[in-house]
Amino acid sequence: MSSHPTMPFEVARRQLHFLWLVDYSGSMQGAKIQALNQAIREAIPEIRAAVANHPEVEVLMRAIRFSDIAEWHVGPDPVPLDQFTWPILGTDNYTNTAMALELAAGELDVAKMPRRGFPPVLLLISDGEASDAGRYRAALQNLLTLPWGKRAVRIAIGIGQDHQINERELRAFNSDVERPLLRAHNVAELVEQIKWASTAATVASSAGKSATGQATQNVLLPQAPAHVMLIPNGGDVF
Amino acid sequence: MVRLSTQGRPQKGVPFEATEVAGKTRPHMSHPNVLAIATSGSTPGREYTILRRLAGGGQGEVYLARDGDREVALKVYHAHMGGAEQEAMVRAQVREDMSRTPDQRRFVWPRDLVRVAAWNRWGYVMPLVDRGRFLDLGELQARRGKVVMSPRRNAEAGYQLSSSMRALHLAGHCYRDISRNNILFDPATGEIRIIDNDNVGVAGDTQSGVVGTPEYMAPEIITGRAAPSSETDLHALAVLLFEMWTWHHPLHGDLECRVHCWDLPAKQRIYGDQAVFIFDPRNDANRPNDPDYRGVRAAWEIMPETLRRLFTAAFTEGLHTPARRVTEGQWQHAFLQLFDGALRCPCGAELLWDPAAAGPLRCWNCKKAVAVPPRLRIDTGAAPFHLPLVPDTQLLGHHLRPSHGRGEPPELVGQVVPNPGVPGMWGLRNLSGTPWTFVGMDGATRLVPPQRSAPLTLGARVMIQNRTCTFES
Repeated sequence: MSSHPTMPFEVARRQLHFLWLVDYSGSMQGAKIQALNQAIREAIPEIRAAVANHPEVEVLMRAIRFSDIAEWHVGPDPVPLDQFTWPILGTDNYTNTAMALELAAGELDVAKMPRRGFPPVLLLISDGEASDAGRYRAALQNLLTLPWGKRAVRIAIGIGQDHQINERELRAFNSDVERPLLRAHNVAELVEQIKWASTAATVASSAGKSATGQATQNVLLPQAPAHVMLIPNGGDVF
Repeated sequence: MVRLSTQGRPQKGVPFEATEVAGKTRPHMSHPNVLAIATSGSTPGREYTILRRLAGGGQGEVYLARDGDREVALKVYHAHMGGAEQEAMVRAQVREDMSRTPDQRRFVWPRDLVRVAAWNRWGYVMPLVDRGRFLDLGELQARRGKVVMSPRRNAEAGYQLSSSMRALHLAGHCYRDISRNNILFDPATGEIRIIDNDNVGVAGDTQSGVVGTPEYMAPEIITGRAAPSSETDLHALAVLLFEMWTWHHPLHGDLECRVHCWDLPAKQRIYGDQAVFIFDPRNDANRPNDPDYRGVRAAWEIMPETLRRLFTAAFTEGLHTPARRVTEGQWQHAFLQLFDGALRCPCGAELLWDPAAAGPLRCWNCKKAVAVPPRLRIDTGAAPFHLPLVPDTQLLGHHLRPSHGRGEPPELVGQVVPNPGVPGMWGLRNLSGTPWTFVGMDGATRLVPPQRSAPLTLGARVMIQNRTCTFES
């Protein structure tokens, strides 16, 4: 490297607000909540690496946990990504997804958001259905009326077996409702889905990527890695 | 219930209730000793052993692979991306020899089409790029203060990029996806490498899957009126060159700054039919006035005038009129000129002397006027080339014929040498095989045979290889 004066180049930045919305209801107890803690801890350095060479992107992260009530797990002040650490999360009783959305919506208010930003990322991770379905629908409706809420990259991850989650409810949260719900049936899948969704959403929101055609969404989110399933009765030869 | 992943080894089918926390997730694909076999290309049947994953992208994954004791990069397409059209395109590419000229060798070109039977996928092999040495623009920016690309190296990189794109276009191809992600720089030398060439196709053919990266797409692609072509490549090239000289996008001014949420619909507005250059001399609607945009204002202020003029042309009339875009040849000439005009200010800063600039040369760092050495003005037929003359300056073939590009190694035509008999006097020694003609101030002509020198005389001319060259100050 040279000791000569260097050109006064500077990069102008935009903020990217990333919110984790994490279910810690009683049903998450045991392997699920442990895997979730582990997965988010592992995802942070991967997100950091994904934007390391994009100094124009300033990622600010927060987390909301919800059971019988929703509250800040990390926040309400946003934490720069390079300082963000994930406090271990235990479990509690209910699944107040609605209140979590309300809390998030409060932070997506135009007055609280940056003057210049990238689409925010909202990652909802839950293993059950909202305790109060009506209130959940209303909270989601409200989120989608906010300029930053409707432009957010919203991804839900459903944890556990099919009968345990409410797929329709979680899919309604997704910014791309056509997309299949991300599912995690076991520990390995949960870790993989959390890492994929958090990294892919951050990159899709901010960094310019090659496009393959006309976009149908306001960000270009790649397809999730494909999975196939073997079920007891898989049907006839086709 | 058992679940399998198409992306790798079978998942543990154990539900949450019975499992421990996974310490590590499974690799994206398992690949110990997986073989890829060349199906067409330089050596059909050649075997490559896949060693480890290097990177992943929208279209596929890139692996480190071994061929004997040589390491190569091997791209494997995702199942849903590697269609028959893509395969046909790569198949055509591996048949093409892109190793003949320096312009071609900067493309990290597909060499063998391969089949990976174990994964039921196909891909291609290409040379491995040293990513410790070659960085993309984002990496360069992220390592600001630790890694520096000097103005002269920036000119070298600009020359190499425009020269390689010119060669590609002359061969009837278009690149389709010029962006900061696909061009790598060696900051120590200005050398470049062009990666992700599997979307390179025949110009006018609209079958490629990739339409570009939004930041670099021409307005006619953004609005869906046109498909990628060599004309849209020229727009992307100008955007990337502007970013290399300012670290800022040429359309990011007040109009972009007022957008709160920077998503695709916003990009379509700012990069589409309403696009306005931030320094458009006739339209100030999109000036970079925001305090956060001081970087681009400072960079524009100190940019060589030649480049300011070319960028202005590229992003005013060239923005919406594809046929009026700045050509690779124009960029090539400008960067060759700037490269040879590099000077060192006494304060230590490197400056680029620019023949288009009016008035004295000022240092961008200390702001003092800097003395410019005498020059040899070469009338090339098109824009003249100006070669600053300092001890040991070399006159090279491309100075006489800039539109032909630079040879490798460069053809040495002459060199500035001291007059051994008269201290303080200098000459230009003829290092070519043919005599020159020196025309003195009195109009008298004298022959300058090989190995003899023409005296550096203000206002005198030398006829070199049918070019008129004049000593100026």
